[in-house]
Formats: sequence, C-alpha cells, structure tokens
Amino acid sequence: MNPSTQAAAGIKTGYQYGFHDEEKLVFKSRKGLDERVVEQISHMKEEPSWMRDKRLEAYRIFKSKPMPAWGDTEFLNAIDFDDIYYYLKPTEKIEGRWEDVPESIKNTFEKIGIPEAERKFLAGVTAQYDSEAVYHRINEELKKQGVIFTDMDTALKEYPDVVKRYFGTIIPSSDNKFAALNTAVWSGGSFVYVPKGAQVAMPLQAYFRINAQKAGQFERTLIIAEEGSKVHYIEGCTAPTYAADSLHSAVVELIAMPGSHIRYTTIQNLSNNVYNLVTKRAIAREDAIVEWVDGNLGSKLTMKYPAVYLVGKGARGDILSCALAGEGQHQDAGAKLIFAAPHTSGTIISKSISKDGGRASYRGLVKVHPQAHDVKVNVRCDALLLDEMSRSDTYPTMEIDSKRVRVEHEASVSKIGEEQLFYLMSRGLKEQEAVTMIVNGFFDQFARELPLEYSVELNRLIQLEMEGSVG
Amino acid sequence: MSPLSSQGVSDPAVANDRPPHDRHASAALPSRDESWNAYLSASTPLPSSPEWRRTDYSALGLDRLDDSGRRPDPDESELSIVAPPEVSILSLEAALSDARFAAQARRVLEADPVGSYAKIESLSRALAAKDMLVFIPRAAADSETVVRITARSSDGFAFPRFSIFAAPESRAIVLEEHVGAPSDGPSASRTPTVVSFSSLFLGAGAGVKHFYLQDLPMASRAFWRQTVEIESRATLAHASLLLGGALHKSDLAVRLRGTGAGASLWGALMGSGTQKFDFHSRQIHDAPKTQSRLLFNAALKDCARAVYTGLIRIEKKAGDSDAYQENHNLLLSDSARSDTTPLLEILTDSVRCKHGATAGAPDPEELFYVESRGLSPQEAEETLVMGFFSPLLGQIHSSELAGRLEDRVAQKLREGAFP
Repeated sequence: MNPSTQAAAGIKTGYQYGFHDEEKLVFKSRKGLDERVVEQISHMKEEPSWMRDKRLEAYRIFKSKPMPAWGDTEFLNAIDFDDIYYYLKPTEKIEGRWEDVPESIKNTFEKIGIPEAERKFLAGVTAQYDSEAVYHRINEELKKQGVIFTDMDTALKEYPDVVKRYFGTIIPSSDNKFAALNTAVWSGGSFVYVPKGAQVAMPLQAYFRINAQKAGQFERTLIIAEEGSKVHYIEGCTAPTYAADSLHSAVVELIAMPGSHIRYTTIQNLSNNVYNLVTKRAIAREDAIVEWVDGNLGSKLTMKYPAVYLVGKGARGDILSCALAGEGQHQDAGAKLIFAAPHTSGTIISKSISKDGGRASYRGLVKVHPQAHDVKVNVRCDALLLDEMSRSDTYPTMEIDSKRVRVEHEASVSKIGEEQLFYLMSRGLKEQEAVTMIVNGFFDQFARELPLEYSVELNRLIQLEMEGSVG
Repeated sequence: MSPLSSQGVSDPAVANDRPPHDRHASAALPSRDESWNAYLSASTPLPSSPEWRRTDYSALGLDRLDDSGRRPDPDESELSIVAPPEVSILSLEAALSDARFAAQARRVLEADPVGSYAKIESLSRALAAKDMLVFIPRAAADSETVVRITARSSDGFAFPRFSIFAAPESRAIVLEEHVGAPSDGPSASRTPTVVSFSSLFLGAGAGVKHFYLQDLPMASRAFWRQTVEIESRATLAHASLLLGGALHKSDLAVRLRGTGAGASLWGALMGSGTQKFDFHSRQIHDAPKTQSRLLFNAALKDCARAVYTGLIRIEKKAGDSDAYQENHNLLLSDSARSDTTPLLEILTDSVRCKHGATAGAPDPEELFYVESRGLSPQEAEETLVMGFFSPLLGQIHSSELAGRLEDRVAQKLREGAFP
C-alpha cells in the first residue's frame, strides 16, 4: 500500500495489526469464523469496546439464526461459511497477478474501454487506483461545506460519537442472518455525513474513494443527510469486478432527516462466482426523499431488496431496480416501501431481463400501516425473456392496513415481439443489432438515471452481453 | 336462508344417496382409520409455508377433534347433489369397482396433494360422510347439464368431498354452495366448521361453468380447496362469491393440461365485522397455447380483512400461452385491511403474462360524479361497490339468481358492523 495515498485519504497509518507479545496473540488470517476471529478483527482495528461487543453479539445472532427458508434455497444452502476468509489485513490484500485474471473479464475491460490503470484495480490485482488528483479537489470542496466522506474504519476512529449514535439503528444485527454476519465481521464501506442545508453537487463515488481498504466483502456503509441537505452516492461500477471471495454481504444504512434528499446508486457487476447478499435500508423523515437506483448485472446469486421506511409526513421513496440474469445466474432483487406516516408516497420500477438459462426474480413488499393515510404508491415490474431456457418470477406482496390509500401494482412478462424485430430489421438492422437495441431501450429508464460515463459504459456492456446470444 | 337454496329444485332431478359402505372397496382407498392415523402423524402446517402464511392453521379450530383421543364418527351433515338422470353419481368406493368409472376414480386417489394440506386432507378423508363422484356425459347438442351441490351446516363439523368429471365435449353448469341450515334455530349461535375438498376434471373440448357461493352463518369457519384439470380445448368459467363466515380460506388450483385449454376465473367477496378471507389461486399452464385470466375483487368494511395470493406459473412446455391476473381491494373503512401477493413464475419465453393489483378507498372523483347525479353519499358509495361486483354477477347464467345475489351483497353492505 502506498503510504502517501493513505495519508491523503485521511487514513491513519499507525496500524499495529494487534501483535502484542505479552498477550501472545498471533493472528493469522484463516478460514472460518468463531468468536476469537471476531475479537481479533476488532482488536486489530483498535476499535472501542462497544463496537467489539456489538460484533460479538451479532456473531451470536448470526449463529442462532437459520438460513432463510425462502428465495433460492438451493444456492443459499451451498454457501460454506467455513471456507471464507472473514478478514484480511490490508497488507494481505490480494495483490494477485494480472495473468490470473480470467480472459473473459480482460476482454470486457477492453471492449467497454476501461483505462489501463483502472483495469488492474477492478481486477483486484492492485488494491489501489490512483485517483487522488481528481479527488483532492473534490475533497477541498466537500470540506468547505462540512461534508464528511471517508471509509467506515476511519470514521469509527475520527467520529466515534456520530458512528455510535447511528450505527445499526436502521438495520439491527437481529434483522437477518446476513446483517448479523456483516455486523460481526464488517470492514470498509463508506461513511458520509452531510450537514444541515449542504448540497453536494457532484456524486460521491465509492469505488475510487474506498480503495484504501478496497471495498471489501463485508462493507458497512452509513449515510446521514441532515435537514435540507442533498447528496448522491454511487457505489460499484459498470465494469466487472473480479473477486476471489465467494460471499459478499454488505449492510447499507441511510438516514434522511427532514427535507433532505439522498440518492444511492449501485451498479453491481461482481464476477459470476459471488454470492451477493446485501441488506439496504433507508429511513425518510418529514418531507425527505430517498431514491435507490439499483442495477444488478453480475454475481452468481444476488438477494437484495433496498427498502425505504417512510416515517415522516410527506416523505417520498422511489426505487428503480434493474437486473440482467445470464447463464448460471439468479438475480433475486426487489424493493420494499414501508409507509408509516400520512401523506407519504413512493414508486417502485423494476426491469429485468433473463437470458441463456438465467433467472431473474422480483421480490418486493409494500406495507401501509394504519396511521399512514393519504398514501400513494405505484409498483411496476417489467420482465423480458430472451429465450426459452430462461426464467422470470415476480413475487410482490402488498399489505394495506389503511383506508385512504391508492396502491397500484402492475407486472408484465414478455419476450421480444416479432413485430418489433421485424420493424427494426426492415430498417436494415441485423437481428443481433435489433435485439440489442430493444434491450438497451428496455433499460433506458435505468440508464437515464446514471451519470453519463456510467450510462455509456452500461450501454456498451449490454451490447457485449448480447453478443452471440442471438442467432 | 341463502338465495341459491331458496330457488328450489325444479329440474327433473334425482337426489343422490350413497349406497351403504362398499365392502369391495379397492385396496388403494385408505380406510377411515388409516386416514385418521395419517392425519394424527402429519405435522401441523407451519406459518412459513406459502399456504398458511396469513392464516394460522390453528385458527380453523380443527384440533378440537383430537380431544377425545379416538377417531370421531363421520360427519352427518347434509351434502346434496342434484342432477338430471343422465348424470351418474356414486361414491368413490363404488366407482373404483365399476369398470365404467374405475380409471377416472383412480385419478381422484392419485391426485398429488399440496404438502401443507396433507394433514387437513387426511382429516377430510377420515371424517367425510361421503366422497362423491359425479360423471357428466356429453348431452344433446347445445344443452347444458345443470348440477347442484349444496352443503348445509348449522353446527359442528362438515367435510364435504366430491369430484366432477365432465366428459369430452360435454357442457355443464355446476352450482356449488355452502350455506347455513334453512332454519337456524338456537344452534345458530354455535360455530359450524366446513372443510371442503373437491376436484373438477374437464375432458377434451368440455365447457363447464362453475359457480361457488359461500354464505355460511357469520360465526362459521370454512376451508375450501378445489383442484381443476383442464384437457385440450376445454374451457372453465369459474366464479366464487364469498359472503359469510368468521374465517374463510380458499384455494383454487387450475391446471391447463391440454393444448388450447382455457380458464376464466372470477372471485368477489364482501367482508364486514371482523371477517377474514384468505383466497389463494393458482393458474398453472402446463401445455402450449393455453389461456387463463383471473379477476378477484374484495370490498371490505368495518374491521374485515382480505388476503389474496395468486400464482401464475407457465411451465417450460407451455409456449404461446397467455395469462392475466387482476386483484382489486376496495377499503370502505379505516380499519379494513387487505394483503395482496400476486406471483408470477415464467419458465418459457413465448408468453404474454400480466398482473395488476390495486387497493384503496373508493375514488373521490367517481363518488363525486355519482353524487352529482342526485345520489346521497351513502347511495353513491353503494353504487360504486355494486359496480365492483358486476363483473362477477355478470357471469351468472340466471339473471334472477344474479339479481338476488346483488340484493344479498347490498344487504350486507348496509348492515351494521356486528349484526
């Protein structure tokens, strides 16, 4: 690791990694998980005791909770928790060899035009991508407004009170097995604090910023937007992220104070060996707006249902979810809107494509509590099946416990229309090009919500995905 | 008294009586004791199973039957099947040993139950007074065979069981109802429990209209499960109207087995007081070029609650199929509650499949429009609610019957919360 980048990123360089002779602690990264490993992680990170206790409590909850009995149980039960490294010291961070990166991923970098330096970072070959020149300037601007944007480990050291106050308040350890696991072994992730009234004009992009720690398997993100503030956070990238780790389980908590606006964009393109089991939840107070823009392209199994709890009058939650499931993949993605205050509203739009035997599922929940009157919510799920081997499921649930509500749900599943293809081909397009154009059009609503460079990359990526899938 | 039963029986019909217990029953048919033991040894369905997610099995109160420690006697409630003479009505035991019907009867035995219903189905087999089979032959051109099936309960447990076979190219109307006894005397305050298992088999090209009315006393509990198998080109038009009971749980499973089979399913309920309805539907497309559509409407006042779970599944071999599902919930009070889970599982690409669901209070603009035509707010709301039921009532072949049911819904709408 390059010490100068560490310093610039605001990370203390004085890690001792917990080698205290008198205690005869010899920590070696090893597979599997027990209380000792959890204690070691906390110890090596020099954490306050409350965090260590929280981790241990979460570990016990993780052990006691059974595997979910719903969703893709076949895939889930194949996870071997003893075959996972739960913590690697930063110095141990992969630093693999470029030669070992699969050819298909290298080709993808090539074709969607990822710069050379970025490729190695994305492929996990280097733990660093040198973007400090750009980020230094952004940092200056953020600092002026009092915005804190750092990684979670640093935040725990430098802003312990804020972290202690909010950590795990939106997603408690007991929420689900994977949230408990994350709380026990978390490392990395982002911490964002936007003070009252601050407007962050430029999207905060995690994949560069977190690089000191390299967004880990068990990252933990906490975003707090104070009254009247606005922030857009982007996680992930369009290019495939090669990971040797087989389990990725993040927890993301968003707190939108009255009148604030948080947008959280994810583009997940993990390599096809990864289980991606993520808990994401936001709380929206009076007149706050929370938007999840969530794209899932990679991974073997993704189970992710970003949620907004609308607890303040006039709050709004919008979730746009998009998934592409190819060979051997199951994208079990969706959204949850929980209405617990009057005059709240929300929309869920889900778009999914299944191809080459892949399976895309929408799983969602809309719940309107009795005190939440004058609620409006609209849910729309569109699925496109590209061949007869693939599968599409829609599992929405609506629980309405209040009278003055307007809840609408609509879903459709279809294949590419013969007429559409015929029309495009009659304009001189080859079948392949016509299908790609239709697929791009299908995802257009999603692509439009992304910053330009992401949306260009997404288009290229889809083009690439579609190659050879027709004809 | 229910509107259907008050219509009287004017058909040249035969009320069927099952022959005494058939000693030559096939070995494949489990005895009452075998079924009772299967019931006792089956585990209680867990709330984690999709069928019992919203209604706890114990809410049906069936475990009272276990109290005595021995198998209770078969129920003695009244199940009447009325049909014209060309229709054969016989018990499952009799059908199994009758060369004309044995093959079909075996399908009833071999039906694969849903795992979480295994316990309650064994109970039904152990305690049903009769397990009746109805064979509807192909009738003269254009005439429809009318079959009436009525289960009356005023107290205790009732376990109606029947299967209907519609011959290839036959045309039939099946009217099925669960109602209270004609004169509900002092026992009306007690809690009848009806557990009904039935199946319909539609031969190739058959056309069956099936109407189901549940108008049990308000204190009763009802479980109703019907499986339908539809062969090629055959069509089913089903309509369920649910009005009575403290708790009603339905499961209608329709499997389109033959090329070109079709099903249109309508359901409606009017809930009041603390009534709870849990309606499950399955549209399973298991053959190419099949079509299904479903519309389920629930109007809820007071503290009533409706749960709707509907699955559309298109199997791999069911290309060129078309499926549609719609569920609307009209919440007429602040305490009414509706839960909706429409599910799609699509395993092939060459399909058109859609579903839609809504929940909410009557649209203020629609109310305003109706009121502007000179109606009081209450009348306006009633008009909108009745409009909500019209797609279902429109499916009923007799306009007289439809009119009477409309009155029944309106009556229920006007009644106080806890009559």
